[in-house]
Order: sequence, then C-alpha cells, then structure tokens
Amino acid sequence: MTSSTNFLNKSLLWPALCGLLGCLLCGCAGSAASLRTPDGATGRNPLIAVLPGENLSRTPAPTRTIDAELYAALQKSGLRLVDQKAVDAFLERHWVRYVGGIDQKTAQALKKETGADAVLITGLELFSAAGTPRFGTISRLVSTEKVPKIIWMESVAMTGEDAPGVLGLGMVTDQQLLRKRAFQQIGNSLVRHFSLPPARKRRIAAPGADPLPPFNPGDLAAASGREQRYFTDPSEFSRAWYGADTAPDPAKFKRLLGAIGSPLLPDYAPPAWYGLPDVMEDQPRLVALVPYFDRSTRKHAGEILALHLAEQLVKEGTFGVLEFGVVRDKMLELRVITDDGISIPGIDLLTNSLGADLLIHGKVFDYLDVGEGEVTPPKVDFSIQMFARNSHKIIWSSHSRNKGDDGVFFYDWGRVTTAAALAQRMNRALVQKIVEQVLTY
Amino acid sequence: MASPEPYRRKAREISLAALFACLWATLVGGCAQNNVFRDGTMDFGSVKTVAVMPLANLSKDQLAGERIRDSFNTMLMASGAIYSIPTGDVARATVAVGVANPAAPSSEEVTKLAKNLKADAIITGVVREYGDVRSGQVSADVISLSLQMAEAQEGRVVWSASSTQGGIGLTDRLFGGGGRPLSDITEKSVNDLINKLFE
Repeated sequence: MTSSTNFLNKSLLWPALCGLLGCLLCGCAGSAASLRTPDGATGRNPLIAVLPGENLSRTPAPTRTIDAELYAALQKSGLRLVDQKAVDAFLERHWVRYVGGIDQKTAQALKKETGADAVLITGLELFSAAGTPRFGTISRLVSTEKVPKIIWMESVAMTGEDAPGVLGLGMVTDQQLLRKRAFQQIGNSLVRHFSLPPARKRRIAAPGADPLPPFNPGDLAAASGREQRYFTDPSEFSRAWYGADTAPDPAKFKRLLGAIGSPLLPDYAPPAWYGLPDVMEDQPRLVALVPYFDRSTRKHAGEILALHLAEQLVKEGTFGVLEFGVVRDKMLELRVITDDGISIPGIDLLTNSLGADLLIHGKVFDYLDVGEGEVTPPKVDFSIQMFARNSHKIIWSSHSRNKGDDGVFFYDWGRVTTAAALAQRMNRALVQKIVEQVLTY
Repeated sequence: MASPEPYRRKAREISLAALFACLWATLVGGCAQNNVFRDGTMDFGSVKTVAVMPLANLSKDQLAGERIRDSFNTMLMASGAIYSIPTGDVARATVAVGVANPAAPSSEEVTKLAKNLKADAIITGVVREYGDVRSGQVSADVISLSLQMAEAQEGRVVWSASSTQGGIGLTDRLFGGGGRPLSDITEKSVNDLINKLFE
C-alpha cells in the first residue's frame, strides 16, 4: 500500500488552479462596483450631470463631438451619469445659456428635476487640429448643495509632440487620439477622487511662535531620561550621534538638492510677492474668485487663469472654492463693477452675501500660446491679490511671469509646449507659496 | 640768449594740467547724477499707507503703465514697510473726488484723495520708455520711469526719483545679443526706485 505525498497531486491540482483563477478574475472585475462614495449612504457613486463644454480656445472646435466623447469616456470609467437628453431638456426648459458655470438656483433646480448630486462643467482651453494637434481641457465637479462648491478639478493639456521619442515614433498626429487620452485622464482622476477622497491637510498658522523655546531645568531631567533610549532606538541614536540639526532627513536632502540645482531648474513661483501671515487657527476657508481683468491679446485668458488657480486651490485641500457661476451670478445681482480692480465696498458685498472668507482677484497681462510653426515659447504673465473679509486688507499680492523655455538648457529637455501647461505649473507654485507664507508655520 | 628749455617745460606742464583738469571734470561731472529729491522736513517714517495712482504712459506699449504700477505695488508691499491701497479703491476714490487727470492730480485733489482713502501719501509717476530701442543693427529693451510722492496734508511733493535700466551697452554693440529681458529690467528699475525711497 503506497500513498503519494507529492503536493502536486493531480486530483488537487485543477481545483486549486481554478480557485486561484477565480480569485484573480474577481479581483480584476470592474473597479466601479467597489468605489466608495462621499456620502456612503446609498453605497453608489454620486449621480453626475454633464453640462455641454464651453469653448474657451480662440479657434472653432467641434464641441458637440467633443462633448459626446467626454460623456462616453466618463461612462466607460464607471461613473453614474444623468442621461444627456434629460440634461439638454433641463437647459432648454430653464433657458440656461451660460454653460461656463452654474448658479445656486440652477443647481438646486437641476438636483430637484434630474436627481443630480453634482455637475461636471468643462472648458475647452486649447484646440488645434491643423498640423501638430493640440488639445487642452479643464473640468470641474460642482456639488448641487445649497451653496455650490467645487469638489474636484482637473486640467489636461497635451500636444502631439510632447513625447516624440526616438526618430519621432512617439509623435501623435491624430487629434481624436489626443482627445481620447485627455478624457481618459479626466475619467481616471474623477474615479480616483471618489475611491480615495483627499483628506484635508491640517495647518496651524502661528508665525509669531518662537521655534526655539527657552531653556527649562525640567528639560534637563527629561533629556537624561531619554539618554537610555538612544542606544535602543536606532532613530534616536542617529539623532543623538549626528545631532538634532544634522540628522539625516530626506526632506532636507531634497531641499539641498533643489538649492544646488536651482539655477538649472525652472522656478515657477512668483518672483515678487507680499503675504500677511494669518494668525488664525487652522480652519477651512471659503474662497471666492472674482473674474480676472484680461489685458492680454488672448480671448478668455482671464477665465482660463482663474480656472487654473481654482484647480490648484481645490487640489491643495486647505481651501473650499466657491463655484464660479455663483460668484458671477451674485456680481450681476448686486451690480458689482470692478473698474480697475475691486474696491472695499465690493469686497464687503461679495464676501458677506456669499459667506466667503477670502476673495481673490487678478489681472492677466500676457497669455501667449505657440502657433503652428512658431519657435517662440509660450508666455504667461499675471498678478493676483487676495483680500480678507474681516480686515478688508490685502493678505496676498503677487506677480508671476514665466516662459515655456525657463530652465531649459539641453536640447529642449523640460520645455513646456503650451501656455495651459505653463499656467498650471505657475499656479501650483503660487498656491504652495501662499500656503507656506500665509497659512503655514 | 636765454635757453628755450624752461619755456618748453612750462608749456608741457600747463598742457598736462589742462588735460588732467578736463579729464577730472568729465569724470566727476559724469558721476554726479543726482536724480533723487527728498524733502528734509518730511517725516518719512510716518508714511505707512500710500495710494499709487495710474502712471502716465509716454511709451509705445499701451499697457506699460499698468504693468509697472502692478509690479511697483507688489514690491512696495513686499518691502514690509508700506501698505499700498488696492487699485479698485483708488479708482473709486478718483471718481468720487472728481480728479480730472488721475496721472497728475493737483495739490487739492491729492489732499482730497488722501482723505478719502485714508492714505498718508499719494504716489504718481511717468513711464518715459518701455520696450525695445534700436541703434543700427542692435536692439535691446529699456525702461525709464520716474515717480513722485506727495504728502497728504498739503499735497506737496516730498520725494521724487527716476530710474533707467537696460538699453544698449558696449557688449551689446560689440557682440550683439538682445540685452536683458524686459521683465528683469522692470524688476530692477522698480527695486531701484524703492531703494531710493527708503534711503
């Protein structure tokens, strides 16, 4: 009588393999079913109404085709969307002509009539089908609560020559392919937002605090108690050996690397800025963005730059950003005129009626994109000012200016090819600077 | 007969002295640029809030005045010593007071504006040059502007300065090149004026 102890027994092999295959397939099958939702009550994704896109580019574009492609891409990502015919019927019923934003009343009506939990508003900021294709879009998701706020925002700008690769094999000549990639990015970003909602970063502003507290005899006793631990905890040992100031710190190393390489790296932070440190405790601040003054030669440059700043504020997580349509509607209702800038009565009116803590206004001087065949780099030049509701003072003022070839030394490596991508980087650096200087200790 | 040597030596000494005197006058005259006026009786430490009026623009670029005013406002506040009133408020006060020429208000208009805006001083200015200048085959960017500060009580001008940056230098003429970017020289010029304000 013999018995086989061989693990790979044929009678067990196939069931084991089938079980393993089944587990793998279940794990791969459709991420949409496992998405967490912001409310969690229904256990499903929020229902999103997709508004027709607004053409902010300076060229005619097939907006209906682009809207249909975006809708299809979002459906493919597994998101729940309101039927497009229902949205069109709603827009017709309520005579909604402006699709670049949504006001409070319209958002409430949309929620009531279509059941939409959020509205997706898209702006087409770059479109060129002739020659090297270029496509840029900026989308935002606005809640249909009592006060509509922007809960998600993403911008994508790409050209066919972004990654040409060896012998130009990576060049993209099909505008539709470019759009497909852009909408895929938008869809993925939205899905990621629902599956992993960003946690609001906690910040404490205490610029007056002394980083080195005065010596206290009690500290000596505490230090002697810690001495034993130095030889048991490696991290404490390294801190004791190297000293607290010189302990290996990855963040410090990164800063050192940045400082050494800074002459070669492009700097998108504003070269001139003024910030008034806010000594308030950490609390969410609601920001209203007033339409920028546009002194550039590019149509809609003010709106585009305001959108990019809002995108970075939303991504940063410290601020709540009011929907543009709400601010626009309130300005029209209250007849707030920004002649050469917004005045203190205007700031009062807007911030009190909107419930905003901060108000941002800006001016665009240059927004130059690259035309077909041109070699001059894109150029963006703008300034912003941030006002506080209570004090009516300017708590942030900065002037940013950059070109697409800043920090480019070797064979166009690092060159930014579109003004949209340049504006995105500049606003990211700007928001980081604002948070560091105004809100963070 | 007297020897001509002493006369020649004296003539040589006189001509050398004259040459040195001319050279000295040229050097000293070239260095003695006094383009800052400061009223000695004014207490500049009391100026905490200023209103910057729209700048008069004499250059080719229509936006030059606005660009420089914007840069100046930001950099003035960045100095930490002076707060610049928002341009929207300045525009509102200009209309309320009825200033005929915002770039060049009269003394009475300055006092009324300062009272309306609660400012300690009013700053006005002129942009003389902004953009590229050509000389033969060479071109470069140049900026030239001047600013004045009038105090709020009587509308007197208590400070005035000018700054010119960029232009075509010797290296540009010899080796070419377009000079420094306009944004850099704008920043430098505004910095120069702010330094002259706080001297």
